[in-house]
Amino acid sequence: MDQKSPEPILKLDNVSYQYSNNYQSVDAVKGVSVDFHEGKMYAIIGKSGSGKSTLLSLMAGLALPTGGQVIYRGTPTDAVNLDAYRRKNVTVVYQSFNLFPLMTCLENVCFPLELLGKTPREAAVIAKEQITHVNLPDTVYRRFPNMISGGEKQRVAIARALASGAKIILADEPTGNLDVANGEKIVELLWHLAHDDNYLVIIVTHDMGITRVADEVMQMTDGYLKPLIMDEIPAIDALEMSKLP
Amino acid sequence: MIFKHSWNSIIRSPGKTFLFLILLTASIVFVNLGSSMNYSANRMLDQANEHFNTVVAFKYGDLHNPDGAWADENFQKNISAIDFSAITNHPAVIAVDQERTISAYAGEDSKVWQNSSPFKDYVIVTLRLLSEQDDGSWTALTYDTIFGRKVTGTVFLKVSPFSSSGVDISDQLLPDRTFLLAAYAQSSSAMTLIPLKPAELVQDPSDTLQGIGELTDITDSSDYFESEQGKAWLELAEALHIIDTSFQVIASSDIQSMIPFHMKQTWLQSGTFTQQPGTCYISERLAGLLELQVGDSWPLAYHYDPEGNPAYTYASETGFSHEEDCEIAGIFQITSDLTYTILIPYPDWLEKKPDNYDFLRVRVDNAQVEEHLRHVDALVPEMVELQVEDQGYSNAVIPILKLRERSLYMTVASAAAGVAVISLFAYLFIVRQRETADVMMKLGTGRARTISYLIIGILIVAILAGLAGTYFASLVDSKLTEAVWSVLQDGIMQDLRFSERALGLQVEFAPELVTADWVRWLTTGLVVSLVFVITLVTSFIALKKPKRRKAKAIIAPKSESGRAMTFARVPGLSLRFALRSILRNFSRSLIVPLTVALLAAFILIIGVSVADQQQAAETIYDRVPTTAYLTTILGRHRQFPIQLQSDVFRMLDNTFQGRQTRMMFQYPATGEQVRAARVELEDANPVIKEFLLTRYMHYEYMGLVTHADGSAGTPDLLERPVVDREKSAIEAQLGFSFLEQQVKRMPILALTDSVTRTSEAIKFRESQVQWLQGYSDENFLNPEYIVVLPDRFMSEQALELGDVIRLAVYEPDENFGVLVEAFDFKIVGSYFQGSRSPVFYVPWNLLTEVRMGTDLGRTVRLNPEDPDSPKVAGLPYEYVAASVDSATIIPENPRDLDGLRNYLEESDYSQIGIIRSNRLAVVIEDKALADGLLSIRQHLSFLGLIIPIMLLLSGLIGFILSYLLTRNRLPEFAVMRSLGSKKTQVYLAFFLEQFFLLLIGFLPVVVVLLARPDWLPAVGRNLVLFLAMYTLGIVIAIALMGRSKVLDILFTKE
Repeated sequence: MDQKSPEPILKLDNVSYQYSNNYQSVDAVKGVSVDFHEGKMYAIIGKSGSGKSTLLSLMAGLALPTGGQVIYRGTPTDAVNLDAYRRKNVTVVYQSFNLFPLMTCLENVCFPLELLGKTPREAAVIAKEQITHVNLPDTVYRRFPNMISGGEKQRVAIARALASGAKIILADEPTGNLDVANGEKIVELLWHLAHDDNYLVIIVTHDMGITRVADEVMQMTDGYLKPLIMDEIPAIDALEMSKLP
Repeated sequence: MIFKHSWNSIIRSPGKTFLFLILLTASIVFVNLGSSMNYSANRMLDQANEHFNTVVAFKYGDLHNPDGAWADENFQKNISAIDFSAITNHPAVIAVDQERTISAYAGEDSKVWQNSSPFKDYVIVTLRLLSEQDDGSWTALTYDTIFGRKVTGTVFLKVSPFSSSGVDISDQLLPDRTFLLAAYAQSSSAMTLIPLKPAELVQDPSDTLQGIGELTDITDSSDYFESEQGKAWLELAEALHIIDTSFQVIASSDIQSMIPFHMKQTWLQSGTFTQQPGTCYISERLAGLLELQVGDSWPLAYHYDPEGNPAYTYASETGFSHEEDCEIAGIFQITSDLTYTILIPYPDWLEKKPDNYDFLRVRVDNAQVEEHLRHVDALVPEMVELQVEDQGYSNAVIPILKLRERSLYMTVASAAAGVAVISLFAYLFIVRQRETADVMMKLGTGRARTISYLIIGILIVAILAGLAGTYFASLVDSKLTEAVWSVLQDGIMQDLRFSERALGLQVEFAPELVTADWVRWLTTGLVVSLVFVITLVTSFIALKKPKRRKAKAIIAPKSESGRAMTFARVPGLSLRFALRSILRNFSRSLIVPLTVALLAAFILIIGVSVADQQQAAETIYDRVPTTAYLTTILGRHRQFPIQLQSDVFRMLDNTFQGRQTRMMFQYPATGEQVRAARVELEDANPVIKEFLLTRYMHYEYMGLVTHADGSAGTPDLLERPVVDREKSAIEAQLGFSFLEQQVKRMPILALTDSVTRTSEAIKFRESQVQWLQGYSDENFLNPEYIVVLPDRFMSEQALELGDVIRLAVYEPDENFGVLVEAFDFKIVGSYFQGSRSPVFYVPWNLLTEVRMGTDLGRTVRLNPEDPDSPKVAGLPYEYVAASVDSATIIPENPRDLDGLRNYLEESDYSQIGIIRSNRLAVVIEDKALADGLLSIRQHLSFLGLIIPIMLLLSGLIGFILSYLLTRNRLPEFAVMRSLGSKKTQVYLAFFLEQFFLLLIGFLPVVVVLLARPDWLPAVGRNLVLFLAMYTLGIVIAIALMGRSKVLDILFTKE
């Protein structure tokens, strides 16, 4: 667990991002510089509109920063094919699961594998392993997402994330739609993936419980990201946190 | 405040607002142009309706009695069976013209000698006989003329020894005696008086008059006229004088519908049309002669015979039928037919049988003619012909109706586009603000104010668009209408020369193009109102709380894990995705195949319909036979004497050197030569394929020769009829033949080239003639001894098809008295007679085959060219063929009727009402063809318009359906992208899904085409275009998916 790569797997170098249209422009992310290492679980907290999800989408290769660079293993994302980057290197777990409603759970997990060129049969073998890995029974294979519980959906989503083989798992409020018990199980699963399987797990969350198990916690405020020392966390204005949705 | 917020909500999306403004303005411009054009077309139709009058003329089309309609028993019987009130009781009828001809005496001060007087050649005179001539006649010197205009004062003349009825009165003719006599004054080198009994000059003579003979010796009776007989003479003279000087009066129930007025041969110089009793109309010349003016009164004493007899309609015993002063209501331009005729509105006191074969004229609403014709068709017997005289209305309005049709298409299409634009932007402006509206409602803004907020901004934009659209439309609408109008002028068969579509005078018509500001403002107002209604409805929808949708249960694969990858074998990620989506979401996607099937079926039907119409256009020339016929300059009769060589042959070849005698060629020709000459001329003519000729003779049924089975018929059947050709002395003297009179009363034998294609037989459609097996109308082109009989005659005589009958054929002839022969004919057909005359039909070519006059004691060589050829009894073969009674022209190429028109014009033939050097008029019966072609053209034009609209619609529907279906799938799109799917993979997956749905919907059409591969050429192109357009719609919808905000979708918090 303590063995960390000397080099960060993901590095944000003075990253900023500006939304703009004809009438206004908003600086959602402002000069964020931070290194992320494999084998660790990071938690990013902050108020709504503070730029957390935008930062996540930049790391996920869903958008390119308008300033600075997102660097994956030494290569900036603006120098790579973003589609390939998303297929192979980074994967996202969403609050609303974002499973394909018309695919069975197994097919959902197979999908990224097929994107990588595996045949459906090869993909199925791997997918089943990943489903087992996230502690789901094989009865979910043939079920559609609307036939399973929220916790199971999120596990399927995580299985799909793992199936791609990407070492970076970005999670956007992964426990937001789950009850406490299921949420804890998901967090535990992600913690093990980081610490047992050497994944880089970055969780954007309001869940203070996660901050307690995260290796590092950062706070996003008005586009700025600052690390929080573990001891400082209780000092966060409880009132302020309670306002978070 | 609401106004400001509403306006702000609009202007804060200027791109969208500007687009709405532009699109709505364009829609309003086009709707305005369409409605303006429609208004112009309707005003032009109004102008045409005011400009033209349409009269439906009812003509008695059966064989005509030469003595006139009043004497025609068949006519009177058939006409009395007609329910006139049913004919005229129709909404299309404006006025009804029934005419009766009567007489009016205007007194000595208004005396005009009438040329039409039946007594113009009769006189009552006193004379003294001088000496007897070699031929038995006497010279005489007249003293007094008591009646008549042919003898005035003292003149020398001759007196016939025979009375007009053939009685020998020579023993009464004594020299140096003074006689009073009534006589027919025959004008020749010396006038000859043919005496007659005075009683013969009146219909119901008194006993006194009946007691008077042809000659009354008054030598010794100086006071004869004081006697009873003398007074009877004077009364007779007075009656004859009244008749002789009476004016012809036409009583008409709608004077302006009478032919001379309707055909613009004359018109009112002064006065107005009125149906007031006691008014009358006279010609300009008569008014000048009698020094009468409009408003003057003129005493008239009317007399007429209710039975119709035109000759003797006044008798002193009965006096006048009616006497009254008539007020001159109008004076019309002089016209030869009506110069000395008085026209009066049909009076109540007049009760007279129909006396004219043109027995009814009905003025109808121009636009409802066809409707009225359909109504009337079932009400009149089959021999009644209906002739539409519309002064060119139907042709003049064709482009106007087309303009109106185009304007309607334009209005409807642009209005539909407008509704689409309004609906789309109502969605974009209003439904998209649902959340705002929801918040406003929650904050207590109230429904009315919230709705105002939603619609005010759009309405302002709509009003601006309306103002702009109205302005732009006003700049171009009249120019556009004018441009479209000028293009539409070129229609089908616009050349009306010789056409039945333009009988009589064609009234020039140049309509004025009218546009109106109020139409534009009204149209714009309607569009803005539509905006209001749609936005209001949309607002209500937006304010409605959305129903929670139940999550759709997806049925899991039945098997366990192994079947969880149902589509594992399908190659390609996108294809797998597409098939999976279709099958697992089919009920929701079913709308696509259903819609596609409907659209494709519609396009298929339109395509087949177009092919049918195109085929109909190709075959219409065969299906609708177009003929032409020769007629007189006024077109009143198709049956009139036509010379075979100088009329028919010369029409075929105007260099044909025919001598206008009864002998056709340089020598008496054989029948074969006549037929050969006809065929040769017909073959050589570039525009006339053939003539169908008809000649009328008379027949007498002699009996049955053999039954159809060959058994013997009537026993002891005469070989030929026994005819007494000996003329009595009276007949010889007067040039009168009882036999001829007898023959003229016999029924008609029509020798014709066709019983179904000629104008006379136009009501005989092929189906109405029941043919003997193996025979058809074609047989009538050969000189075969065959006959088609009326069904009634056959049943009366118990005849069957195939029987052979003997007919005596009679032909009155000016040179040889009466020609009589008997021939045997095989019955090859029967026709439904109805109320028609019992006409027998035999081939015209028999006239070139039969030898007539074999009992005349004349001979002719069998081969006229060979002087050694033996002589046979009879007249030359072509003798009776030289004259025909009607001729129907079959054009060489019905597709090129203009060629026929040019040919006729170059040959200077007349048209009805347009006299040229050749006074024969020709009428081309092209109305059915023109109507058929017009109908097909309109149908094709409509379908031609529908097809591109359908294709555009297909594209639009393809887009809308695909857009709506894929819109629900945006999360999947986003997830696929987030997982690193290439754009092409994602687009292809969704495209394939929609495309397969399209193909599924298209399957039924493919099945139909497999069953009917012959439809493929007609519909293939349109179906391919349909697939292409729909696919284009899919492509655009899928491309729009790419513009969705993936991040928003992915990071949506629930």
